[in-house]
Amino acid sequence: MIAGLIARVRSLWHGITRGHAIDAEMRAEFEHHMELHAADLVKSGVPAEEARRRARAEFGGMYNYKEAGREARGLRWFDAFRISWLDIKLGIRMTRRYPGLTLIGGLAMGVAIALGAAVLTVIALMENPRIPLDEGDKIVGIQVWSIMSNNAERRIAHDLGLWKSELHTVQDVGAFRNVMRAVGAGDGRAEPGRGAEISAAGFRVARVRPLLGRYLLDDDERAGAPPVVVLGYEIWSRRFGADSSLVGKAVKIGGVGHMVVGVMPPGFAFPVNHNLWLPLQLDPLAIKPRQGPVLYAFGRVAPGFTLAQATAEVAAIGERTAARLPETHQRLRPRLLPFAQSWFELDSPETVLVFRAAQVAVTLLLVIICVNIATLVYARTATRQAEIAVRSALGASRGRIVAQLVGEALALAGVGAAVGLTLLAVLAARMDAILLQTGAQSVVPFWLKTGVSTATVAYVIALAVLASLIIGIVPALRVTGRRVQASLQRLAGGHASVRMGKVWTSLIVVEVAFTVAILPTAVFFASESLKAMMTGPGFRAEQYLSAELAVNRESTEGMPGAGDTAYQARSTLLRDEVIRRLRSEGGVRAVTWSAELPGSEQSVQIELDGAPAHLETRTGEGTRWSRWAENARRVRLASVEAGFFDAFDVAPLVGRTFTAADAGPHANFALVNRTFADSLLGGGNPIGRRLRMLGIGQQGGAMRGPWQEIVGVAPNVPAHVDYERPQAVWYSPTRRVQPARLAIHVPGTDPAGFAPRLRAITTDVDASLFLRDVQPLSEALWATHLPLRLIAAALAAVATSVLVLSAASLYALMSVIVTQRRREIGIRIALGADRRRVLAAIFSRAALQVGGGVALGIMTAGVVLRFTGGEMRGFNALLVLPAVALFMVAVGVLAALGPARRGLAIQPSVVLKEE
Amino acid sequence: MADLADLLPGTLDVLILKAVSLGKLHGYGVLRRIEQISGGALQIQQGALYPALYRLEHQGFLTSEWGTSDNNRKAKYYRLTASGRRRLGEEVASWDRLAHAIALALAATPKEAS
Repeated sequence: MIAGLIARVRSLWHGITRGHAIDAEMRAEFEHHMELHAADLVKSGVPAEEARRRARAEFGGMYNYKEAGREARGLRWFDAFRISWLDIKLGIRMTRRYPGLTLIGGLAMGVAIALGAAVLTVIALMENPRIPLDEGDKIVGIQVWSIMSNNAERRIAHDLGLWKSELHTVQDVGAFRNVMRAVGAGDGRAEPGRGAEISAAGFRVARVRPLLGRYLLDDDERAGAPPVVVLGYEIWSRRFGADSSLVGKAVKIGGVGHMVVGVMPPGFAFPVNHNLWLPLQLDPLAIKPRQGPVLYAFGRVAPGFTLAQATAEVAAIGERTAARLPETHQRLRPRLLPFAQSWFELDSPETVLVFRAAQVAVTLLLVIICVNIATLVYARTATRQAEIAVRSALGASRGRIVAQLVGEALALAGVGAAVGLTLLAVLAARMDAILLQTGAQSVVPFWLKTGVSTATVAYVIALAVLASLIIGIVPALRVTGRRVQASLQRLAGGHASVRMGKVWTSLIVVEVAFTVAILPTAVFFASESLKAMMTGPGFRAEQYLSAELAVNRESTEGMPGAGDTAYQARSTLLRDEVIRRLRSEGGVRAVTWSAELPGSEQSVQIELDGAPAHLETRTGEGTRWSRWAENARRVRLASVEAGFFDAFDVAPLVGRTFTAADAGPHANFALVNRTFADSLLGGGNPIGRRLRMLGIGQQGGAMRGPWQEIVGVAPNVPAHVDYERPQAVWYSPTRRVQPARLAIHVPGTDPAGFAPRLRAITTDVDASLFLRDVQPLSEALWATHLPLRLIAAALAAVATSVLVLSAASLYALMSVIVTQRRREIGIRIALGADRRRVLAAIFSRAALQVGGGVALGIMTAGVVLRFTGGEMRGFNALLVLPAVALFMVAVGVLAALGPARRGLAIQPSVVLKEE
Repeated sequence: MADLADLLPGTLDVLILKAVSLGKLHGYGVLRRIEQISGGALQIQQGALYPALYRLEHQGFLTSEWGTSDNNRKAKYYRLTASGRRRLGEEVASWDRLAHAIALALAATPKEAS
């Protein structure tokens, strides 16, 4: 039985894959048969010509036997549904014949396909990244997971020493840390390089030969070894003019001379997206557990071992360490992951759930849009019922007709795929600029490439095929069902009709509901984006130049303790000098700095005096976790220079702004913004109230910062922050921030024009200083809105597609009803009924559908809002939902208008004559 | 002379299996062998043979390969597979039982029927 099954599958496979060859073989076999038969006849005395004729006649119809032969090979079903090139050609002709449907369907499908392919590609790239290096799948990251904080513990210098000496299943174990280093060339100008202080083992793991010279060696890691650097191709060609004699010469890296020992080839950016490599001079065994710099460990699974074996060995070492060092390692679990996964930390159940939800959502969106288009296609077939019935009567099987209609759908989906690919290509072309603007460029690793990849094209094709199946098969099966016979009979009477059944009419209810449910969200995002554009930041941002000023951290300064303090002191000194010189520049009215761009501050938890917060601790399954509950408030913490508000010409609403004395080590003063005062202090007098920061210690204990006294209330700066409710902000004056975000007020001129002067001053003060993101502050603030603008654009595109489709579906439905009831309308009018009343009765069905859809949509939107909550709830409920509902009714009326006019124009005499 | 169309369904299949069991044959050879072993009593509609051959091949009872025929032309030769041989055995046994039953039925006398 199994042998029989295998034989059938094999034969079927041959039939499908070698379709034309099989036909040729059959023909050759038949010809051979007839030749032998003719030869036998000649032997029996029949003349040759006559023998050939008789042989052919006695054999019978070759075509029929070929068909029977294909059927015998189990290919009948395949043949029935095989879409031929002719079907596609017919489909292309149909797209030209119905330009409205092609335009609406193609655009809507294009939007859905582009969105779907983009999301699916990104998820696939994140979940199954392929490291484009020799045996990239063998490169692993070693992570220490803290079950206390549910996060990776990165101070792993001590553990690194253990792994290096004890691991057998992983070779070339090493680590790196990210460093920003100013790279100086002959012109004296310093530029930041994305550097990695990396173990020499990293280059053995990557297995990429240097373009020039050598890569780092173990000897370079020794304490006291001469400083060396390996340059990336891009930095070598751009900053050093691709000087091939550079190897062996010294260049300034972070103000210190380093000998260039090698240049890596183009595209090499291991471990993440680095273009500068320095030796990681670190003695792991000299560093105590859970101390030392933040490190990322890597290695390569040794030949002959599997990832699972290596994982087990790492876990076993972890257990031994935990037993030996319970104080620091009891709640730490080292684990091994494929390198790309260890970088993104994507294996948490929540992330996986989000990915799956996103995949389902984009597929669902495409399905909804395709079901919409299927309605339109079905309505189109109303006009082709006669053609289908005739083809059926002439012997075309149901499968053939379905295949033809699917072929047509494929042509339509092809238009959608082309639109989708164009949209993706446009987005991909802009992606580098977007990454640059949002600052994401520095975190995108080398194994993730922007652009339309083969995988993306494959997704587009797969989604287009799915779309064509939905928009082709369902209507095709409906129109080729048992009604074909009835249609044929009706043809004799001169008219054909398609019924729009309950399923189809309820579909319109669903799509109207969907539009009503999704439009408010789209309108919300679009309006917030507009609002951010209109409101502006609340000060003259276009007059300020913004830049991030960082100070090179030398490796001796990287260690906690004395080195760290020395670095902080040096950074403060250098930054103050830059600011002093800037302030003495002509044309500069003010200079200030803060830790982050205004509006992009980090969020922290605080408690207010008189309302103590409570730390909630839970234990279970050997883990313990804590969180602040009750009176803990989440606010944004802005660490700013004392003159911050004065530099922006922002006057306090109440109290005062900071003075230089407020930034002293023992002064504990705070300013809050208007939202803070209104929402957290209940609008009462905030002056003199106190707040303090809350934290959670390593062992899960409560940590509270010193009390800070509120001395003033500032307006919200910037006035509008993304789509969120304006956030409560706590301003804390500080002197030590690294790197610092400078804001230089240069009124009366384009601030970008001041950039060269800023660079010159910075280089002049110290070669270890470097600048990033030098741009007018207005542009930097605008870039923070970019993700919002992208979301708004995507949602608006989807909402518009669905809206247009709903209107088109309503139009199609009304048209079909009018065509279908033409005779009835004619007779009723002939009998004296009022035209408008006749039509009102017919169109009441449409009104019911639109009404039902709107009601369902409002309910759905209500449920969605209940879950999303927050700012959107008030926004929608009051304004947008009723507006969208009214809009939808208007669309319904407009869609019904054309068919209604056609209905009113029906002449009873003409209709009755047709009968 | 009987046309195979008048015979019981499945008869053609068993005759083809039998013909091929005697040695590998091309399509025309199968036809001639059946005529020969049936003493010319059974004749097959020429082209109708092929769908049956393909069906048996699809079911795994026959296997085929291209070779050169006596007239030096490329021809497709069919051979019996192991499962084809088993199938032929089953079919022959089934025919024997049927023929025996029919023979018994036709030999019945009025005495036996009462």
